Amino acid sequence: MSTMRSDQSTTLLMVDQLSVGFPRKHGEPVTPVRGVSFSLDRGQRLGIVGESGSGKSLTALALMRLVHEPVALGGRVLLDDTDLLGLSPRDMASVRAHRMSLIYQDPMSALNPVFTVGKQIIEAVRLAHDVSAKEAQARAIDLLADVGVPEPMRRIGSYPHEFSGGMRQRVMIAMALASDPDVLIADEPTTALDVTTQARVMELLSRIVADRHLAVILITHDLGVAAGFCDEVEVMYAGRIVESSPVDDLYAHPVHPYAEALLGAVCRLDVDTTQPVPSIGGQPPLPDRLPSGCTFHPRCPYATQRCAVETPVPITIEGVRFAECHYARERASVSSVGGQ
Amino acid sequence: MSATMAEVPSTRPRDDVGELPATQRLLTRLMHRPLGVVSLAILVLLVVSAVFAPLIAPHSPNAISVVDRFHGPSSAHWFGTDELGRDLLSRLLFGGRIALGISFGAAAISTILGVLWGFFAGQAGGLLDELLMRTVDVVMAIPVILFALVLVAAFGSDLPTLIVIIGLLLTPASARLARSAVLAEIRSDYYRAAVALGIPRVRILFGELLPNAAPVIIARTALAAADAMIIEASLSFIGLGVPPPSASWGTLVKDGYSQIFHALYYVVFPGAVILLAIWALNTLGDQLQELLDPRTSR
Amino acid sequence: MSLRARASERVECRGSMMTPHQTAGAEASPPNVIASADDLSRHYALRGGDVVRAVDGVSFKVQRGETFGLVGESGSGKSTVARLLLRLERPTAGRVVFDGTDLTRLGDRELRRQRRHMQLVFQDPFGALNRRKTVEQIIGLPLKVHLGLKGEARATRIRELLDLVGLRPELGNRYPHQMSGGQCQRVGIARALALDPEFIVLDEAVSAVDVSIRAQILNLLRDLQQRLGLTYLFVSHDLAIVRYMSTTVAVMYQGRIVESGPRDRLFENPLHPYTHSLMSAIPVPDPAEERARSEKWVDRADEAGAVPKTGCRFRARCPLGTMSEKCEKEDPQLVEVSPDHRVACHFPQSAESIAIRLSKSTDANADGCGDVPSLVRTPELRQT
Repeated sequence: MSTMRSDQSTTLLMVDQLSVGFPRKHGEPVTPVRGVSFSLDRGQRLGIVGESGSGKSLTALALMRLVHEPVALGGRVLLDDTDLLGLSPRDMASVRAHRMSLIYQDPMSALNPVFTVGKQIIEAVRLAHDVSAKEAQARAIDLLADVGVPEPMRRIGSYPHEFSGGMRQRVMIAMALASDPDVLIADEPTTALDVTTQARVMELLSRIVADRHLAVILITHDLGVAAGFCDEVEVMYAGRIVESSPVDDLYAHPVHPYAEALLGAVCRLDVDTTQPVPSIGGQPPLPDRLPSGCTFHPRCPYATQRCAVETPVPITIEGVRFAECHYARERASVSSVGGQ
Repeated sequence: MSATMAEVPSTRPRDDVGELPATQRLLTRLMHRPLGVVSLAILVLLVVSAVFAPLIAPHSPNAISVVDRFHGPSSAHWFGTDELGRDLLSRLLFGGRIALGISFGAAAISTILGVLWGFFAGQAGGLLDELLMRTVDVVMAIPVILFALVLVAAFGSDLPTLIVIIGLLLTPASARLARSAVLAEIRSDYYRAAVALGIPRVRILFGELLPNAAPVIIARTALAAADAMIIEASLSFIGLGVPPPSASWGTLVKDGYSQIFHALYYVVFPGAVILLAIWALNTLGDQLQELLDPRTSR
Repeated sequence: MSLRARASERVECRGSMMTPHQTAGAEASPPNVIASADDLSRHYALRGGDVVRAVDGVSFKVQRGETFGLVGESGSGKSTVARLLLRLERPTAGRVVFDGTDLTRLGDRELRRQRRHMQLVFQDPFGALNRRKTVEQIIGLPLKVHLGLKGEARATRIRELLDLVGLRPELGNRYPHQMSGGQCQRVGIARALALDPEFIVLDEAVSAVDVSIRAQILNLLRDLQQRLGLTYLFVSHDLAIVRYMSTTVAVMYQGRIVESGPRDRLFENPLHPYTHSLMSAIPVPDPAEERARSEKWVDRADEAGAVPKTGCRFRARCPLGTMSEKCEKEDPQLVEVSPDHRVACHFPQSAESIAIRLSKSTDANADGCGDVPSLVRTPELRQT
């Protein structure tokens, strides 16, 4: 089920029942992503939040068709009415060069250590635009300046290892912007950074996205980062989106029990130190050993018999929100009544 | 520093309790791999035939019969006879005792000494490590065969001496391997944890690190056995192997080589057996290595 | 003596003057201080003559029964301090005193015996366990080596420990790769408890597990501390978690402690610009609040370049440092500004005064990176 939250003209990317399956030697293929649907508008900041094993990073890779073979991708990924999953490798490469860019978690492994930073950015620029080398270099310098690298003219000639972690991440952002993409996918871009550097880089990202009116998908496990950046958040659990909400609604009144528990488990700076941290018992299920019915039911404090047997479907609450829980509507009305 | 997430391996199926890479089940799992089965079978065949040579050899290996000189393969002599009429098959079977005995013995010595040397150097670090490893470099810089020649000339070439000499010559390579295996593990958290628990160093090295270094060491042992066989065969080929009338496979190749235009079978059979043994040892080593690592064994 | 009997004895002794583990020939130190670092340094000499000062003159005391929180980012030296405290590394200078004994002077054998009392839990749950050993073998190792436990006695103790950390006894046969990160971390904790130590160093012990599991482990750690009378040194980059767990907090930057004090006092009134920066930088899971702080004040972090070799090390990142010669010339020392609250800064600032200074200086500063510092946040802390 996909939700269209604005008219066709501003929707850039529409993901419809995306699934990622890996074949196995014996038995059924393993599917860490099982039918994910969402849409992305121009200028929108979408967050995909989940813990390890939720399938969020794999979703990002699948959108770019960068998942290692052998893999079976199901569903549709429509970029302006073209299904990316049906494109030939050459056409997909063209999409990656011109329309969609990906920022990775670890800049050191994404940047080629034997080439200067300038060379790599210039390469990205020239892949996307037909410009002279001189012009490309000028653009590269501008990009470095834009992402806050001091002395960009000099640093163009530096190698990745000569930068600090935060600077490397900025370089990667510059590279991602070099092709003037419409969609930016950021996969845990600040997870490997110090918290102070993280704050600076997220600020930068926010400004750049606003300046260029980019559509962004931010993948993260950090609920604080998502709160500060995203307009809308999809919460993933065991390969599916279990709740999709505008950001304010999600954090104020989460509907799905997992989303609620996850928010409760975050250790905030002002948490009550005399109380135990509210935690979720058990651990996330493995993709090849999913519980019956609702995948969250073994850990859910509100689970009923029905939850163990019947798989929930996404239920719409208030127009653009939906949650995959049998009791979504009841929970939504209770919490909004209680909250106001 | 990073707030990295310990990724639960989400796409790799987990073992059930009970399906564990324990040593008893190793053999069973080896049997599931075609290469494993074949190489093991060949080695078992060679070892068994060598061990039971006196029982299965059709003739005595030293029985001279001038009448039967240079007979090609026939029903009486499956592999033919040599220049003194001796049955080649029987000589091969008994030769196996020497070839395999030296090969395994030397490999065992090189592994034991190499592990002691490499582990000691690896955990000592600093000057001691440098000293020990430069010694390794020096020894390895000398061509093995030449070195072997010198040692055999000095100490003789009877069976135990050969085993020791070849074992010593193969030790430096094992030492290097053992040392890098140790170094890789010493940087790990579980090593630090063992130190933090106050476990004595020797116990950590052999109780905790060795099991982790075992796959590479075992594979190396199989390869060392193959190397030892080549060295021994080479020495025999130039006449410096075990003295006659005993003959290892290499001696037979030497004798056969001089008759190569006259009696081709004489060099082909021993040569093929050596080839087979070396292939089997190398392959077995690879298969074991893959199996012994609990993470890749699925 | 069972685990619990020993623990309750320890809990009672916390109040009294005598400690049950005092060794003969001990150094004089207040009996309620279990561990102290005394001008501890660890320098690494690099090829080319440079020296990396991972830890540079760090001193602090850990009280029996408390949780001492050490917080800092990469390069702060906090993990090195943890290792130095347990003598897993040899300090270049200074000394470590544990329970009255100077660890830096002990020989190998005595040190090994001393280790029973102080243990470590690591960041990487899988890496900390020997991948070739089962859970039983991993936890059983110290029991075998130090206590000589065999057979049924050892098995019982292992079961007891597994139960203590909330793991089912059936997990005893599992290998690390067959368990989740949270389970492995619990095994690590069980192993640390095997010898019934009094002091445990937790080096980023929850950083590498998911949020939901993290909560479980933190609760477990607090519970264990209560039941067994443990003292913790809690090392982390996460200020919120450090605040939750600790009674005393020290903030580290580039090998030095820049601010330290009792938890509540430090969090209600942070004084060092770096502490302010850390607190502002933490993203809050509250979109409204994040928007209100849309222009956070965070120091210049990754844009500041190399750490200066003279004067205050923080001055390249500090918006206040450029304002004074003193910061360029003099290296600030840790000075007590209120009881037990120490700061190493020439111009310690309260949150309000920083905000005022910064709003004044933004007009003057042409910050090439285009970021406008204006607001500093001190959280509305609930009175606990």
